[in-house]
Amino acid sequence: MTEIRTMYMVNPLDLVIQRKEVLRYLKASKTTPEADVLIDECLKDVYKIVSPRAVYIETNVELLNDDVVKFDFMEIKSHSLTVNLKRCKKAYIFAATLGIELDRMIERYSRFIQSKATVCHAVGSALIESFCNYVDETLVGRAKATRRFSPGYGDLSLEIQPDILKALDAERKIGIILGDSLLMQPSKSVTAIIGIK
Amino acid sequence: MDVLSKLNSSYLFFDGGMGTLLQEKGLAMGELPEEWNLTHADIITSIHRAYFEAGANVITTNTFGANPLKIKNYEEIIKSAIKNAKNAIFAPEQYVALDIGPTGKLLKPLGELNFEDAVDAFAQVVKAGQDKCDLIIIETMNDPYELKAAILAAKENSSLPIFATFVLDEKGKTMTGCDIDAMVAMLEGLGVSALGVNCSLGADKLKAFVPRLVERASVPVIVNPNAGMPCVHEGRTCFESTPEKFLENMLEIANMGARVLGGCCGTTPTYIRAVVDALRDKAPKPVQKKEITVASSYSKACTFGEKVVLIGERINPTGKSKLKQALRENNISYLISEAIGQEEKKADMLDVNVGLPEIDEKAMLVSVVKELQAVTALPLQLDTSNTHALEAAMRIYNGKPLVNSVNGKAESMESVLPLVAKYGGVVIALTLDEDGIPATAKGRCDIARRIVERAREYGIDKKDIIVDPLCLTVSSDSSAPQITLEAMRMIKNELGVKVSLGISNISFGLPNRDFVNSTFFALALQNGLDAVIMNPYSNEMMKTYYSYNALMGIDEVCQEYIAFASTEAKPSVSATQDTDMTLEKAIIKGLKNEARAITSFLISDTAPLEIVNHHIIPALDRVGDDYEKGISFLPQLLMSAETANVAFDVVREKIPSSNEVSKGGFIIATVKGDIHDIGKNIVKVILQNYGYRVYDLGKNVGPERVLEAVKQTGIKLVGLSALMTTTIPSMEETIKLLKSYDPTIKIVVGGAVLTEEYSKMINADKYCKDAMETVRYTQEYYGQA
Repeated sequence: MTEIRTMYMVNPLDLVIQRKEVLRYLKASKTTPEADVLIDECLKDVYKIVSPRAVYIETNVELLNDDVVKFDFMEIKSHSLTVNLKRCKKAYIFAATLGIELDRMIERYSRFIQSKATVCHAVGSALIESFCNYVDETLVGRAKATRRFSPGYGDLSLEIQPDILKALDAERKIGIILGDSLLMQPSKSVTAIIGIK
Repeated sequence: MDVLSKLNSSYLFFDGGMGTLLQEKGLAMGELPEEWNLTHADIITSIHRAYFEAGANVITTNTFGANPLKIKNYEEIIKSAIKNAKNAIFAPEQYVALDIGPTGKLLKPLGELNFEDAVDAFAQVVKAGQDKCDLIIIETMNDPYELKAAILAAKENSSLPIFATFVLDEKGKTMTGCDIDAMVAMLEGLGVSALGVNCSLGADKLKAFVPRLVERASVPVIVNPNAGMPCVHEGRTCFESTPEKFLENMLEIANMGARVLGGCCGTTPTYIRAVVDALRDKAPKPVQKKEITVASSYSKACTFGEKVVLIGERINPTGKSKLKQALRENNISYLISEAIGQEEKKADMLDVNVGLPEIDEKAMLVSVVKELQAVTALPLQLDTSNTHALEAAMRIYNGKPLVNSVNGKAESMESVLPLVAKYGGVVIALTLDEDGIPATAKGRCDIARRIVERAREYGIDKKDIIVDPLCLTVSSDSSAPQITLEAMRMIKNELGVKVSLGISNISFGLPNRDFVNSTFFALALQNGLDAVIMNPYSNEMMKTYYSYNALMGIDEVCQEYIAFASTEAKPSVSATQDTDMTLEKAIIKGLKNEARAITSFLISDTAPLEIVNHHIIPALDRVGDDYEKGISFLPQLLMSAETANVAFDVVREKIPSSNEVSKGGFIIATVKGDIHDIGKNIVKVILQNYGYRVYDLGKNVGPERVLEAVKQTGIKLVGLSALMTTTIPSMEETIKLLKSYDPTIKIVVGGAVLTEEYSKMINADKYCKDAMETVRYTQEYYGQA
């Protein structure tokens, strides 16, 4: 039996984001003092409202013929994933989210102050990335691991998202819900696979 | 004995976890536990029986995920699940609860699911299962809105008692950010028989929130915790808890006043047996009825009787020509800005009245309430005399609303009170009846008493009634204020209900009405006023509010007063003092206060159109150019756009609205299946800035809806946005439909996954990489480039 484990309510202050990451998501290479004030406000808003949570499982990995990867609970056909997990015997699969309250805040801002909505969106993207790094480091520790790999990368289809979320019990444990077009809600949510060599 | 009588006389013990036990019996990961009702009926029954043997009074059917949105053969599963549960009964006083979990979909506005579709889905579950069960338990709910949908479905399709439990995180809120007070208010309003919490946390952590639940709830409190947080020990999932520790915590929880006890994930019959053995022969604490008057939103509660509750009156067309115009034009963003403005001025609640003879009030009230509850966490007061509009709004309201109003007329009571009884709410009771407003305090008190009594017959407690003794104009009757105050005191003393007033009527016909209003406000406060409908922008009223609270020890150490008074004292820094600052600069830098000040200054001696054409537009062009050249970026572009809007607003005050010329229209939507609309919203803001009238259809918009908008508006320029590869087909379908209707319709597409190439493949007319490119294309389309 594969176990689901929860990383519950990580303190957002443990997650560092670089300002330039936020700018990257805004496709901006520089700012003005006025824009900096806006970014600072949004950083404060976002950090106040997020609830970073993650669930993960550890699974055995078997690489079968024809680019089929076999985990304990499912098989996935993907060439890119097969390449990514080369020489891996184990893997971590996780789902991480910043919580739905951030979406609500962005939704709220989008009705009357679009600049804030846009910047909070970018801050959220930078923060979920940082949270994934945090989860990644916590799980992998000193082991030798592959780069994080998510559905949608290469030929790894988004279609596996429902099965992964189901296996992680992500709806009940951390509130990730899948929309009809395989979009995760809360919007700042990620699922990923890390191979351990 | 039915389950409620049993609950009345003793503790009620629920069963514990099912999933963990099924996994032990071989349920594979990702396999649906509900399917086992069909394939492994004997195992399911044996687990149920084990819980009954352990002493549980209530077992929950194995139907957590069995709803039409998650499982196709939900009906078959529910029927067999109930049979499996029934088969486990071996003694009297063993009850079966129809278990209902979340739909697995997120409701609008954040998700895709319509409120009524959620109600329908739950209704299917209730219909499939209720006739053979003793009660319905709706559990593991995160979103109060979804919980409300489930309760309505249960009430409308069954007469079984409803128990409801929600999930709390370590901060004591649901994952959607709803706190305990708000949840309890809504649930009690909807009339559940018992309420409480389950899942997510172990008994050790959950017990921290039990005192608050017991303090707020007038019905029995349910606590069904997890065994603990899952952890892994020697390769097996364990919960950081043993039955002994669980028991220890559950005894504390029982002692705090919880009356319904059981378990959730990780708990087994051993856990339940321990709890039952320890408590079976003990008497639970009696359930105390609370006299708390409270309204709530999706996340927070507003309690009456602590500090006077300020109800913002600005969303009401009476005497407000701009609001009237906004309503006629379906300009909901104007209403949103009024809501946000009042919230910033510290209103506790918002009155919402959208009644105009020429509009469909029911449809308008519903859409305004939906919009407002997406942007503000303030509870709303639904203000209408149209019963149909009221019912529709109460139904889709996310929380427990304030209802404005009922009065002593038989017809009013018969139409409004049943709605309050069904949907929950606090109702404002006006002391007038068929004979008008009594001239004496006693006359008004008598009407109030009649309303309270009539309400009781509908099952509405007096805590859910706030009496408004009405104030009449002092200029026509100098004794009117005294009568109102006397009536207030009498009603509070004799009936023990809360009172509110709409203050401003008192000064009708007088100059500088705020002076009179604020002094009368102070008098009313001194006489026990609990809530006031007022204008939060009125400085005089706010001065009274903060001063009174400071003087009466309500605002301890005068903190709020100081915060208010110190911003008040500061002379507003006039941006025009900075001689270098111009409107162009203010817009380019995104400085809203400066832009507002300079525009107000300019407007005194400059023609409105000149300000637009010689100051605002050139600044916008400059920002747009800089953006396109990569000199400035998205945040600046948007800040400038918003600043220009502020300047436009000042100018608009001076132009009669009919003279406003739009440069052309643009229909915009995020396509079906896609619910991320940040890009679409950016395009909308910038287009509006350039003078185009944007018809924003929102997100997750089906092709027919887009076509309908084209037909309605006659506009043949449509922008479509998609973020996901999975929604491109839906974009293609929309284009196909539009083009087949009228091949001259021009379609602009954009969004994260789109490229020039893609756009050609799906037959779009133009791919725009960003907002500015869309503006340029629109200018070209309207021949203004």
